Amino acid sequence: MNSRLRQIADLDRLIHEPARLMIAATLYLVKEADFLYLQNQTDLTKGNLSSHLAKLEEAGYVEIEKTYRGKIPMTVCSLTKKGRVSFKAYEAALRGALF
Amino acid sequence: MSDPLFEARIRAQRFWYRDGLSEIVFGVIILLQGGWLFFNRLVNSKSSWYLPGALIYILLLAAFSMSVARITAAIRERFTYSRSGYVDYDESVRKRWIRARIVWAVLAIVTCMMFLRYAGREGWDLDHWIQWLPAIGGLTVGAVSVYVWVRQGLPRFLALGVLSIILGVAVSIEYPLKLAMAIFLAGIGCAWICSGGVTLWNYVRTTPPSADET
Repeated sequence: MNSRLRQIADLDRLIHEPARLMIAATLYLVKEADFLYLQNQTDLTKGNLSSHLAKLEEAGYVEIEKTYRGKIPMTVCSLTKKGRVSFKAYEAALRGALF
Repeated sequence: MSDPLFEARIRAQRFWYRDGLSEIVFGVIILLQGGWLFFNRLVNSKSSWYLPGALIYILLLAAFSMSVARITAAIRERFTYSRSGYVDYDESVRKRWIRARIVWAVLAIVTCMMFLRYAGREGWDLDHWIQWLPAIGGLTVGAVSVYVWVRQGLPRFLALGVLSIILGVAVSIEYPLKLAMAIFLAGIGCAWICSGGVTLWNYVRTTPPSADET
């Protein structure tokens, strides 16, 4: 088997899932973003986005802070250092395997 | 093949222009400069109106500069974040923007100095060339606007760029320098405020706020 292609088997599966990949890619480009912004960018439903964010948070890839904007609750998300390193490594591995 | 990460970055940056507030801020700054030039043309510096007028202008400019960030943040908090969500850009993006602005400013200063040195040596009539300052300003604002149009795909910036170039060249041909500069700055300021205002109005009208958690 081609060794470059074999790198695909070693991809970080937590990030590899399409919905989580969209979330990670969006957060990778910004310092922080709230739930609504992520929903607009990814087109995921609230439930779906919540569950994927929870998985990323559990893995230590995403930091979630609950605050208030006036009386409306605001969920601010950002990629942790670990999350950034993992996303960068994932991107490099995918590019290395496919291009 | 296009880079999906690059496209995502452009999408994130386009979000910045979505509510038109940055255009309104730029427009107000330029309009204030134009207003100052108009005032200078209308009121003689020996007139008793000059000093109070100058003080009012300085106060207005200082108040606007000091409060613009807070006002913009408050408007964004009220209108933008509840509609399209909140986002803060990466430090590297902000640093790149600042770097790009510094490079532009240094290039402009160096070009001017080289031009003046060359013109002085050749014995050129500088008044004739300085008359074209509004046209150069129009070309500069036009180039930046067209760049934003190409990069972000927002057609209103093409219209603003074309307008800047036409207005800059037209007033340079038609009016004496000070009046030409005043008309140019006031015109550009109004155009940017109108463009930002229409964008903001359209944005508020077409994007409903989210009542739930953001």
